[in-house]
Amino acid sequence: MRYKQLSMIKKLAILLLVVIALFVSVGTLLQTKLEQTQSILNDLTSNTLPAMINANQSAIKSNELLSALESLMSSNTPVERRIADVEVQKKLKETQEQANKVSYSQNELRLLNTIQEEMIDLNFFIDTKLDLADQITKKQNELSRLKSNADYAFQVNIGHTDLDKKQKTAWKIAYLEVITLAYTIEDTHRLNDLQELQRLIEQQLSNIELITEKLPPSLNKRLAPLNAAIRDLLSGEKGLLSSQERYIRISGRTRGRENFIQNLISDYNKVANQFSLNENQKLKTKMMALTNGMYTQETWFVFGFVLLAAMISLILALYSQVINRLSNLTKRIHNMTAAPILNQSSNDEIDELFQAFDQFSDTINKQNSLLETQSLTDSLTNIANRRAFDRRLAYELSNDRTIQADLSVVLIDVDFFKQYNDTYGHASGDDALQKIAMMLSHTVPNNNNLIARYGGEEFVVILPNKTMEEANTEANNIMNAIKLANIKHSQSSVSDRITISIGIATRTKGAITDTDTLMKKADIALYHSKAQGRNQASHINDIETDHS
Amino acid sequence: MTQFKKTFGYFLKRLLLLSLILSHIALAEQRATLIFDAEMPVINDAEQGQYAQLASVIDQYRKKDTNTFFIFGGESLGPSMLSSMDRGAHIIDLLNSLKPSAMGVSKRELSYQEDELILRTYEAAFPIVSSNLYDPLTHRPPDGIHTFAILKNANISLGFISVLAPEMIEKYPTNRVEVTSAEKAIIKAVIELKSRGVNLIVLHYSMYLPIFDQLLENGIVDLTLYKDQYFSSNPFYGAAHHPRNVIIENSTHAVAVHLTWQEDPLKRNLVITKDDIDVTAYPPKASVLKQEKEYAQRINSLLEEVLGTTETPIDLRRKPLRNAENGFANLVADTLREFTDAQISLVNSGTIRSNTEFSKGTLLTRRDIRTILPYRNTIKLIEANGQQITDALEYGLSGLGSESGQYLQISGIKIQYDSTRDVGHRLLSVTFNNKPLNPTKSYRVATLDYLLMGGDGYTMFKDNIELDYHQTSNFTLYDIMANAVLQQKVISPKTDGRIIDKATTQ
Repeated sequence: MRYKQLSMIKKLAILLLVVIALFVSVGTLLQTKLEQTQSILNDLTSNTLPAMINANQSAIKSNELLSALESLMSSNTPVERRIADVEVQKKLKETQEQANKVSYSQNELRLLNTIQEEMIDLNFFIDTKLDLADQITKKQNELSRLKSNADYAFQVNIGHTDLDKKQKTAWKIAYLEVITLAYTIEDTHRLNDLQELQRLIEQQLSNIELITEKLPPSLNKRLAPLNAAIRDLLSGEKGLLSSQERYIRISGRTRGRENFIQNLISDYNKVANQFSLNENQKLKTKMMALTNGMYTQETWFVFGFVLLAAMISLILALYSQVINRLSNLTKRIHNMTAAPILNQSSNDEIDELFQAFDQFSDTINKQNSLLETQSLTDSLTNIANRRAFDRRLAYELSNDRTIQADLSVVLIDVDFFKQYNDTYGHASGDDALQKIAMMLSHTVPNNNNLIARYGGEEFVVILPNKTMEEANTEANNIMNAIKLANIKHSQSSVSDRITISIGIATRTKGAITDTDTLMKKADIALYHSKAQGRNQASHINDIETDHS
Repeated sequence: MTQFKKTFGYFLKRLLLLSLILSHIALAEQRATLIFDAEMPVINDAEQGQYAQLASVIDQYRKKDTNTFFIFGGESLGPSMLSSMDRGAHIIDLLNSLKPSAMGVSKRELSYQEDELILRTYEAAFPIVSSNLYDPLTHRPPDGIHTFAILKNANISLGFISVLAPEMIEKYPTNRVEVTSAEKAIIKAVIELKSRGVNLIVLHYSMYLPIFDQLLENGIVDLTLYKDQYFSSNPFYGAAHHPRNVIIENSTHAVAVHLTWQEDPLKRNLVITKDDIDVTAYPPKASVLKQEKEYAQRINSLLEEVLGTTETPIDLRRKPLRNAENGFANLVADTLREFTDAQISLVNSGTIRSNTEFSKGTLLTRRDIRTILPYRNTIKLIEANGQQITDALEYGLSGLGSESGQYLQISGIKIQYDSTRDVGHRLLSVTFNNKPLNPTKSYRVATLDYLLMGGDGYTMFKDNIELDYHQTSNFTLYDIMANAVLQQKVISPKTDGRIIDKATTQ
């Protein structure tokens, strides 16, 4: 029963601990989750979102840079080029600024630097290209001027002979042919075609010169400068052909460089886009985590509450079970105690239980004292009590036993025991009584004899089969034993130790007597011992003898 | 004195004119020299021969014989790290300095599609010739491409034609131009050239076919020029070739063909001799070297960045790469598959270049990765069924032995084949997750746009649905590989038995 109660307490305790632990862990978990959510939100707002925006911006800038480059590539006039160049530089700067906001690797930054370096080269090419284009235009204008000069020269310088005229016409035709060929230079965009054109022009120039050689010196003199002018304009290192050749070559290089830069920017663009995509992906992942987190939190909340409710129900169930068992117990106790229970003042099951316990203990006390009275052993000294003595003496004095042997009774009284109690206290008094009882038990053989506490500080010994003499001897033994016990008694008038007085009475074999008579005799003998000064034993027969 | 000068000048001019007029009339004891080289996609490459060194060769011959023509056989506008940036413009710029008489178009000239090649013709100071390219948009040869060129000097007029193999379109798919029959194109051009009175006809080609020897035999053409460092892997390699079929097999070599003849008619007593020239043995010409170096050093700072190292040796030599599973190719295929989140990836081994070996512990720079993966092909994710994948794998094996770039490197699947079997029956098994590939099931396959466009003859994926792969879609294989090496810092490409040739393992 006791074990089970303990187990119940344990159960309750464990349950409570579990509930607390759960409560704490659910709470902690929720707290952590909330903190996580908070940190994700913080991260989103302070890191991921700006990073994503920066990355997106960076990707946009690189796209803009790409289109700015395209407009630079397609610019045909210095003005267009200047505008486009400013735009490219602006976009490049913006791209670079934006790139600094994004945590790109060294490579991307290096890529941007390279783009910038390549841009410088490209600009140089474009400048050269535009310079050349300008030169070509100027030379084309020069060509128009030469043409009108030639026309003028043709009209003014009239030949002298028919042959001269014929030659002059030939010159004019050849000259115009050169000029016509020269006009196509500007529209020749392939080096290979230009070389072919150059071959033709050179051929035609030689032709003109040959024609001029044949003209009369005066005419020759007038036309030769025109021949030289057109040769100067077209051939030679600074000639139109050479300019156009350089223009084509530089255009090719520019195109190559543009492709190069375009690819560089496109590489950068890819990286920027991928980076931006990654950032977007990161955001998405974090958002997903956040949503999932919210969902888990919800689940945890619900789960936590359900668990808590379950725990509380369990506790309530256990509690009511305990209460039920308690009231059962109370009822049982009531059943055990016949008396009705006064429960007006009882508040709850526990009060009721307390009252029941009170009544129960009352009953137990009563029963204990009842039991005490019914007992045969003296509770203090652990030797037989008065009742046991009475029963035994009555038995010994019964008819059957009377015939068989003598019987002596030794009545013992502790001298000055009141004084002992007063001096040493009742507890010491009890101790002394216990010692005396012990000495008696040790001194008097246990077989057949009975040592009992007769009451207060009086002891009695039944000695069956003992004659008067034998009883006297036993009494002396007892006296000696007590003396040996050596219990200090300062207030005794006869000794410094506890002493006893003894009265002995003997019923001889065959004689009939009753307990009262025999005890009366023993009492008289005791009184005699006391009267004679205590600390001595007297047998009733000796006193009677004295009296008689 | 002035009179003398005048008379002398007069004579000179007359002579010049005469020579121009009579240029095609052969004179006694004539000679001409023809220098031919090709396959120089990488500039400033001292091992393979620089353009500057070739310039010295040409200068030397031009000094010896003013009647020297320089014919460039192309195969150079791509692929290279720089070309991937400027689409070959720098090669044309360099060639302009070398003043070729003409340039033939080879397959790599179409690395960046026909329109880029057309742009290059504008930049070239020499005719770019391809006799059998046809643009259906204009019903003509592509703009700027000549079907032939006539190379003239004082005493000889050479007709130059150049043909591409129609199979070329498989390797370098074009947007629209077509490659017509080489034979027909040659005959058409020869007729045209003859009508213009050329003395000799020189044919350039970039993929050997027996027809060229026959054309020489039949006297339709007088000289053919061909450079192919991988000629030995051509099935016709062992066949007998016409003595005027000039073939260069050594990648560092050029050839000088000497033409000598006594009198008209030229053909009957034409003597052709040739010098094999090791270009790398020549000192570089300073002005060209400067130009070459300037180009080569572009974006140097960008390219010198070390991305990582390799724990295992990398072997990118053409032969092993195009005949068997390759550790680095595995890494490329795996990276491609992971990047696109595909189940399977297929990469034609021709995409992986450089033809070199990297020893264990080599620091890999951006330049290395760019050199290994010089094409700007973009990455594609498609849905393909098991049958299409099997067809592609079988097709990939059909070029075995010829070191064709169509040989597929794979990820996500394991294959076994028998290289000794007939073409079309070589593939023995394909497993995906240790189970045979289901012919009707759809798989997510990552590959390159090159293959989807039908590159290397892969026609099976032309109509497949393209899938989104949640990444920037214009990334090239180079981009993702450079990134992969950068992320991993240490790579350890190795083979794992995903491709097994039963013929070599048994």
